[in-house]
Amino acid sequence: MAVPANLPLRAAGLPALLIAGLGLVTLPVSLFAPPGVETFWTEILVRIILVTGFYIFIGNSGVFAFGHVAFACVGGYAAAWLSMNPMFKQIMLTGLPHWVQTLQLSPWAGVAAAAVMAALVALVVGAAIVRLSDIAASIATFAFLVVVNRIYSNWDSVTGGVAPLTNIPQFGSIWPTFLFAALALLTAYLFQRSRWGLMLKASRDDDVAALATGISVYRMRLAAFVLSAAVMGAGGAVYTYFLGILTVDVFYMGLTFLMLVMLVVGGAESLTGVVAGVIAVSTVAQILRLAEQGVQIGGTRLALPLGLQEITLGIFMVLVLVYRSDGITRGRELPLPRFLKANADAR
Amino acid sequence: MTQFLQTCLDAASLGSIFALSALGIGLLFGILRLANVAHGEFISTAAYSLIVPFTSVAAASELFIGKWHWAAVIPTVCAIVVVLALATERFVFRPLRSASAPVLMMASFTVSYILQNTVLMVYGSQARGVNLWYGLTQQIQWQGLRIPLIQIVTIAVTAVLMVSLSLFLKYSRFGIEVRAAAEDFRMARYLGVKANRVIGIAFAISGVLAAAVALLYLPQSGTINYAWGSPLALYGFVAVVVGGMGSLPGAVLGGFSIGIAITMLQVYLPPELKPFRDAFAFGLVIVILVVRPNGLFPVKHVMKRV
Amino acid sequence: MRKPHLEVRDLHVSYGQIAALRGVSLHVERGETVCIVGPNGAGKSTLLAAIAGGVAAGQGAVLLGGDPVAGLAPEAIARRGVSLVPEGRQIFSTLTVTENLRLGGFLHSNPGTARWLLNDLMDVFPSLKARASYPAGRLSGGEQQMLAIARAIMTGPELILIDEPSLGLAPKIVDQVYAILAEIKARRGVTLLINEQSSTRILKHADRIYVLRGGQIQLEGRAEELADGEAIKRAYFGFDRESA
Ligand SMILES: Nc1ncnc2c1ncn2[C@@H]1O[C@H](COP(=O)(O)OP(=O)(O)OP(=O)(O)O)[C@@H](O)[C@H]1O
Ligand SMILES: [Mg+2]
Repeated sequence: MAVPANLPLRAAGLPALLIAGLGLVTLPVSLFAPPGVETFWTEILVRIILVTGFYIFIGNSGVFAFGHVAFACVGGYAAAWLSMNPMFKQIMLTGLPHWVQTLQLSPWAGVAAAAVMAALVALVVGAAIVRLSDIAASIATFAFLVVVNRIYSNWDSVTGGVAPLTNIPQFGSIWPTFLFAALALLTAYLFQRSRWGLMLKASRDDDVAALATGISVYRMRLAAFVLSAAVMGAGGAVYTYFLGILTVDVFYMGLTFLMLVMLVVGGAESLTGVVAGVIAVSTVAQILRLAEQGVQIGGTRLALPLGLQEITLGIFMVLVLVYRSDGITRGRELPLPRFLKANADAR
Repeated sequence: MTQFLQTCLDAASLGSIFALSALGIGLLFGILRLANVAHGEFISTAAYSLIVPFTSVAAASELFIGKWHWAAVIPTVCAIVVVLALATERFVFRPLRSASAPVLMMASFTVSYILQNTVLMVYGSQARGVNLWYGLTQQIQWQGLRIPLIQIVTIAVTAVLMVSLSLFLKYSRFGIEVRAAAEDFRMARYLGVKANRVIGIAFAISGVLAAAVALLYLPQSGTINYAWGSPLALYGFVAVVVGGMGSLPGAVLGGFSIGIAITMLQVYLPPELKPFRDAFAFGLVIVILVVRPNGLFPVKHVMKRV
Repeated sequence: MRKPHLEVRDLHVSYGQIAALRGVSLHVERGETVCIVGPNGAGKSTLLAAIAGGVAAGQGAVLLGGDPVAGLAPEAIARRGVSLVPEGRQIFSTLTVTENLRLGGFLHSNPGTARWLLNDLMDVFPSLKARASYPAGRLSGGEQQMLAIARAIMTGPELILIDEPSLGLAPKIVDQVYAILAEIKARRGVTLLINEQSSTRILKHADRIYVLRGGQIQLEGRAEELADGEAIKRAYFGFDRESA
């Protein structure tokens, strides 16, 4: 397999395009949009980080890991531990080591630390899990999600249990979130264009070819697992700094399902699909949510029954799985404009 | 000694529940490679069908089907869950028949999400008290033991269900077809076994087992909420993995082992570790998958798949 | 004109990117024994599976007695008198020998037919009768092959597709398998389509031979015309001896 020349600038055509697109929306949103819209768009950017993290492992290895939200949970709590107001930490989280209790890091440092912590956990867990194949891997990662959730919901002295953690500083602007989203996309792209990324993708179709290159599928998978966990951890931290409040059940089945929908709807095979899936699903969900709140017509309020948003989303997912299992992008990347294409795609 | 016997009885009755749940999941996994996350919602649906929909929360919910004579309640609840199971098969899993196992799991995840939110919409998110078969919660005094009647019923019903299921699988025509399909579905179809019928039967049985779990566990738990069935199904999953995925005797053994393990952990775990009981159980799943992929009770045949 | 029992026209099958069959056409007359030979990966198993409905044809037609059957489910094709003995036997190892056989007989609407067939087969295969209640997984390789053949006959087929009956068997056992096939043919007058990797033995048993390589038919001929094996060898290995 030919490895394309990897001059960073040339290779970065696709993410540059995606990031520029996101930036073009973020700019007017940050300047003119009402708070509701700004929240909506920030949430989309956060989800792009998370789904990109998901994608780095699933999209490249082809192994459906259902438990990645656990890393976002790890990252989210790491952020809270490092940045929460120390006074509250000393009251609520008595089990934390003293030096952590007195610490109050900036959100920037918190995101970095969260990524590192999630990566370390992934290294340990991944060493065992990525050996498994197919459905065994899916079930094992699912079990991992349950384990993490149970630990974080019950280790009261360190996590506060199921009670929400408050007094976590917020970014105060949409731009840091945008920056992390851009960073996540760039990371995913550089990995998928790297030697390991390409070979990992090739190993899905042909184990023998992968073996012939001399790098074990196991090590490539583990690398993808750890990297994707790092991005998930960062995403969990950014989410926490966005909300300013943290509850453990935010990072459980509901979010897992939402991210799977986004990934599948967009097309699990491409980075463009990640962005498209997040935006499409978030928009549909938002419209449904507004419909649930209803419109005032004359003296009566017309509204869809509560819960219909989720049900519609679920039915939508079934339809996509049945009729368009490669997602709305059909697994393809965005077509690049000519001036970028000439350089970027050597294949 | 009495304490120990009491614990054993608790373990056996809890193990029965898990074994029934595991059987329902293991049956579909064996035939379709479907890890059916929605099994928990089959269980929840059975429980919710007993109470009146769209009512406000009361300490004890008004019973609907649950008011009837038990001889009417049981077949009606079974029928409701069987119809639900067959519908999910028809509209979700049949169109996905050639999909890979993880995609099937994702689809079942979706079904679970839809059903759970439907329950939320119809019944609300608050926990509901359900007084089903109050008489069964009585305790029998025997040799210093206090035995809740429901535990005896649970163990007995489970035994009856398992014996009849194994007789059905062993001797009936459908049983032979189902077992053959579980071992090698494609080959069974080459011999004229109708895929839709076998899968339909398997889903129906799975639905009956889910209804049984709900009806047996409800008198013990007393309250339900929209996610009530999930843990029961999750433990069913653990049991299926422990027993070696795809083996039905393994699933039953797995169910009882988990029942015993959970009860023992509950009794003997130091108090500060008790909240982490479930984390231990699911950690065990990962360890077993990695160390003993064929389960703790491997059955001779290894599943072949094309 | 009489329609051939089986006709395959321009059949294409691919697995994702890999094209396994690339325009295969063949015909098998009623009562014939036809053999397909070809090297590993030629597409032989794919061809039989496609005829039996186990893999979807991308393009082309499969006709049984003139009726198109491509696209039907395997269980429907089995009801039209086609039975497959797949590569590696694929017996149900956790089922007993009798259960394996009964399974093959379930498609008869009259249970009497199945019972009669079962008794009849137990006479043809005494070794199976002796092990009737064994789990089939405990049979020897040769016995498993016999069971797979007997199970295929239980469906009451007019056309039997057999994928590499000699795979993994000692020469003496292979002779027994072919003797059984000849006996069944004599008793029931079925049509046989057999895959083999090597043509040496098959020349004795087949009426006609196709050589399949790279997903395409390379050669077709009557067994007696190809008896010296030279033409087959050339088609099989894909090079021309003369020009070499
Ligand atoms: N399930 C499958 N998925 C992907 N590719 C397959 C599958 N089955 C067969 N193939 C490919 O299709 C081609 C033909 O395979 P097939 O099994 O039909 O060959 P064959 O002639 O039966 O070989 P053999 O003599 O080894 O049995 C091969 O290249 C094989 O790798
Ligand atoms: Mg073959």
